[in-house]
Amino acid sequence: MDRGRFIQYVESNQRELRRFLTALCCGDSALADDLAQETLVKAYLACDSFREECRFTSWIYRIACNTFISNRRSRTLSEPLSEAACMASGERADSTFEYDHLYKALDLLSPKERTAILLHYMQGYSVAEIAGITGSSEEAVKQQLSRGRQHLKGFLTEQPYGGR
Amino acid sequence: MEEDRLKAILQDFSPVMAPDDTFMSRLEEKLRSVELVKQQLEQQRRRNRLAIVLAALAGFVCGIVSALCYPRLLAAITDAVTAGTAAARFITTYGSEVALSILCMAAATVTYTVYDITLLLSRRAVQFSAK
Repeated sequence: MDRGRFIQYVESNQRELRRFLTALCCGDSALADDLAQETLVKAYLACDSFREECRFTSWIYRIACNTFISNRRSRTLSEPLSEAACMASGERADSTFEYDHLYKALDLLSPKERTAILLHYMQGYSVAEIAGITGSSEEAVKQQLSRGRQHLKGFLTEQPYGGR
Repeated sequence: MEEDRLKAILQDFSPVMAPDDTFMSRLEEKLRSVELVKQQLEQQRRRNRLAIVLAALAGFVCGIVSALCYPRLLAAITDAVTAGTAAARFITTYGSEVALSILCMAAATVTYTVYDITLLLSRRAVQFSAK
């Protein structure tokens, strides 16, 4: 994939990636954007050697998940939520309160469970595809999804209409 | 049922994000920087390749010159032995080894010097063209 096609791809898919990363970062859209930038730069650096264009999106999500995990390791636990709780910006406040319950519920999940849940229910990937993206076995992904659903049970009962 | 609800909630999820233009212009700026670094690395790789090729060429020429010089050097050592000095007696025992060592050292010095000079000159050429 050359530079022009890469930019073209990013232009049409960046919003979806940022949405996924925002949920993964429990609402910290600034961090999500930083991670999206880092992900896309890493992908750009390696895209010359990438041949399987049909799996390009999965590959980008794999880089995004790895970037998120390594960023998470270097940060203190639950920083995004504590930051979100005390932020004052109007725009951030609206978005955070709009999805406050969702972010709190997602924050209860381990990073792996959250990644599996979001890839499956938000991005529509199958268990096998998630296993490929996260580098886990299919059994492990099934367990992560099941545990994730268990942890989200409380949140789902509070959201009877499936809304925000 | 729960799965459907979870799917619906997550698929409806549309957080407020920075404008796409801002994100894309920030990304394109980063990609330009990456491109610049890539170009510089490529230039450096090309300079190194040139230096290595020239050094190899110099080594090859030195090898030929050494092969031609070897009999003469050996003859010079033999002449020294004929003069009868103590050092010359030592050289008599290890005559060919000494001659080969001298030639190898000379070839290595020349090869390394050519490599170094090529790198230095190509760096200067880049600095000059940048000005």
